[in-house]
Amino acid sequence: MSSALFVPLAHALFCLGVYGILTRRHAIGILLSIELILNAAVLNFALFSRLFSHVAAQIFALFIIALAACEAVVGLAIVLSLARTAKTVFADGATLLKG
Amino acid sequence: MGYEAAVQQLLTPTTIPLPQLVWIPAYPLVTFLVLILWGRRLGRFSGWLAGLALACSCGVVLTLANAVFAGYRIVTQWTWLSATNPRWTFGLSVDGLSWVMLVVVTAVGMMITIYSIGYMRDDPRFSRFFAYLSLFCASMLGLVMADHFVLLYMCWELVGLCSYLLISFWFEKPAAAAAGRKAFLTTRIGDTGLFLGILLLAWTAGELRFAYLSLIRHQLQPALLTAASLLIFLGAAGKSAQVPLHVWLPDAMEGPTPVSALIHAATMVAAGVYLVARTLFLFTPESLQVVLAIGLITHLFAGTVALTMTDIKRVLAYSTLSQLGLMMTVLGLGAASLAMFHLATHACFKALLFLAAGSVIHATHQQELAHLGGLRRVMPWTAFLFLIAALSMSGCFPLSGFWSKDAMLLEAWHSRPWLFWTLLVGAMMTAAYIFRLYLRCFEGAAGQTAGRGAHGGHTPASAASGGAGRHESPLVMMLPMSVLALGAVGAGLAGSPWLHQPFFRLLGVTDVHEGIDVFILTSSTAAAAMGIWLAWTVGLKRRVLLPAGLRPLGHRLYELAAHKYYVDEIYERFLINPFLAATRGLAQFDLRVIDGAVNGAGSASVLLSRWKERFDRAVVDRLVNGLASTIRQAGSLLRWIQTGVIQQYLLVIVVAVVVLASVVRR
Amino acid sequence: MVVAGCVAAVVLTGAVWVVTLRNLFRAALSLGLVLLGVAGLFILLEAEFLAFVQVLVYVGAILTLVVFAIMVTAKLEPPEAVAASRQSLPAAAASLGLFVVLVTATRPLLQARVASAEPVSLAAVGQQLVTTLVLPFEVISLVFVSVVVGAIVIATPRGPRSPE
Repeated sequence: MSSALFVPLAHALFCLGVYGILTRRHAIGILLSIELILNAAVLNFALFSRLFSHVAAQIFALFIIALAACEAVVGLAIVLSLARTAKTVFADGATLLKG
Repeated sequence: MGYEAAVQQLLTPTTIPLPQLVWIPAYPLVTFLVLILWGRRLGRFSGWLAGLALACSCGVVLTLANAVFAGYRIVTQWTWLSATNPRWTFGLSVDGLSWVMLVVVTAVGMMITIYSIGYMRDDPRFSRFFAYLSLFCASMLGLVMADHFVLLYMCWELVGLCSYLLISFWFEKPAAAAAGRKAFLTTRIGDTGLFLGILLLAWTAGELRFAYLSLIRHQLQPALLTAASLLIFLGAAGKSAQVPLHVWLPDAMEGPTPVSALIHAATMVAAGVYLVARTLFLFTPESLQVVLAIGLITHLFAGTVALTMTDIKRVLAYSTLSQLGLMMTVLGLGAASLAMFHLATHACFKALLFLAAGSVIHATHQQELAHLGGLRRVMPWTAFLFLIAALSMSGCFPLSGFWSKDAMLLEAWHSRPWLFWTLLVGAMMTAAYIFRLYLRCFEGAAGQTAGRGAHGGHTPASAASGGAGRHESPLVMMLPMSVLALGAVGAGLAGSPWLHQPFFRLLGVTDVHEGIDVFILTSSTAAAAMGIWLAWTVGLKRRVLLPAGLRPLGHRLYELAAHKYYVDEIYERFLINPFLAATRGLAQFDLRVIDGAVNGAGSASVLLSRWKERFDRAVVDRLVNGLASTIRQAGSLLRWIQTGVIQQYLLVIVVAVVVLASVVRR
Repeated sequence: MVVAGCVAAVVLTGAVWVVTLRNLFRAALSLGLVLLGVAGLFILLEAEFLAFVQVLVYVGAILTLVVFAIMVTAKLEPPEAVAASRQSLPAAAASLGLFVVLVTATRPLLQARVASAEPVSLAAVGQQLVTTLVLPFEVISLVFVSVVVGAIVIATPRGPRSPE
């Protein structure tokens, strides 16, 4: 239960999630990485709620999980839409922002 | 202004103010303006209008006779410059001297104007001729009435201008145009002298009005007077064609014959004589000697040349030169009234001679003596009038020329006897050349008819072939000639002792020789007879009188005179050609140096602009284009970043966050 | 403590698998592993309710959904062979940098700390939810509604006019 372990773990999860977002080509792969990030945040919240007996922190963690669900829904809807329009699921297929 | 008031007081008793004096030159001046503007529409009437104007002026002049003969001076003045101190007033003044000239100009001018209506009948520029003629008369009248040197100078220049316009009236002929230029330039030299004289007087004496000048004359230094009078004489010499400024007068015969009659016989050339007479009070004995010398040289020079000329008008031209020289000689003796007397009589008979010559030319379209002869049978009346004029000119009693010539010989006899004998020789020459002309023209065998439009002058209105159209001139030409003949006959009586010399009294001369001097009478008649006989034998019968030994010398002298003593050639060689060469040199300088500099500047700027263009293209354009392409490349480089792949954008964001977070530390 | 370490190791391994496995299906399953591991960590942190919710929602719903999506899009691209990204190295560097930054920024927290006496009770959580934090609670439901509507809108194919 020491923060010396959990905090770096959360950091690591976060960074891995960032790495995944930057690296993954499949759209759903990006979504998985996003979940990782959110989980890192939840872990942090839970840790601090235990460390400082902070109720709101735990509640916030709950909210994060709820929102993660929402976000997954919307994200997957977008992926499906992308798959339908661009006929691809790879993120490099969506290059409408190309300047 | 004590001076002004004092002079006014002196002059006032003998002056009569009369503003109507202005009408005398105004009539012809207005006619000039009318004819210039509407002459073409007036057509034939232009000539009569000009004659009418002169008649009106003549009328005004004659009404002044009483006052002038009584010794009064009629004046009118107006302010010319009011900014100076004292003010400049110009004015017209008529005293005896002016009045004589006025009568001559208006009367002779009127006759010649009427004659010209017939002579210039078929000329396309008919009305313009009379416009110029009117302008000339107006300026001549102004000249003789001017009481201020500057006003006189203005009219002097105007007269010169009219002379130029009229000499080159038929300017399509290059000879006429050249003659006009020659006249203008030669008289210009004289005019410069006159102008310098006026300046000198203005600067030293400070007074330019004749009346006033004559009163303050004794206050001026003799050296100044000599200088000023010589300069004024230079002007007179130019206008009156004295040697060496005489070269324009013979060439001026290119103009129409009425022009020669009016301007170059009767009036304009007399302006120089008038000027000297008017300013005689300025002449010192030294300057008078110069005047006499020049006049005498001219008289003899021109007389000898006149004996050799073969063109009618040239003979008359040299005859005019000779007579003008004679007038100047008499002026050199200080006898202004005698010179004016001869001027008046000369105007009559010389104008008549010219008009008669004009008649001949009009009828025969010839001017060369070789082609004329025996015309008395064809044109008797013209011949008769010519004869009268010739007799008057030779000084035959009791014609007008006799009186004037006798008076002059008398004066010469009393002052310088050697001059008297010289003038006698001159009188003989005069009779000789004029009768040579008369005899060759009107007597003897008829001359061969050369081709039409022969040597010599342009003749107006020639549709008739040579020979067939020889006839008397129309009435409009004969009538004025007859009137002039009356003058040639009777004008001398005004100076004759029979009428108690009203002429001389008019001019204020009181001591005149009463009665006729027999010695002078006989010697002058003898000289005239001698001259006529010479003309008969040598001129007409072509007998050679010289002894055989002298014949070569005689030939050489004849040739010398026939070539007018090569004066024109000398001028050409020593004056005109160097001047033209200098002009050409300057023109070359202008072309090479100045134009070269200008063109060089032009081509230098073209070269400069080419370099600049190259520089512009190479450097500046490259800079600008390089800048643009650099920006474009930078843009495309940067655009490379905009891949549209969001993950790459995210990478940048993360890197940025990392960087920022590591830089900004709490 | 050892248990925590083992679970942490599992979580980490699973996370590494999530981001590196080429086969997407296996990546999704690795995520399931991670989620379960995190749930275990929650239990170790004496936040049992949180662990239940994590398993129920995350593993039960979200992961299932993801797997379904994978299967739906499997026609387009076989989930087996997915090429590596071009920016792996820079991304790795950036992530590493981020990790370093985070760790250095939170260094005071890394000192071992003894947990406080009382864990947070479920009653307390419930009570907070309906009193102090009732607003976010209600808002969450609104969010749910909008998410559902939005997802339907996004995912629904356009009318017969458009080619999609």
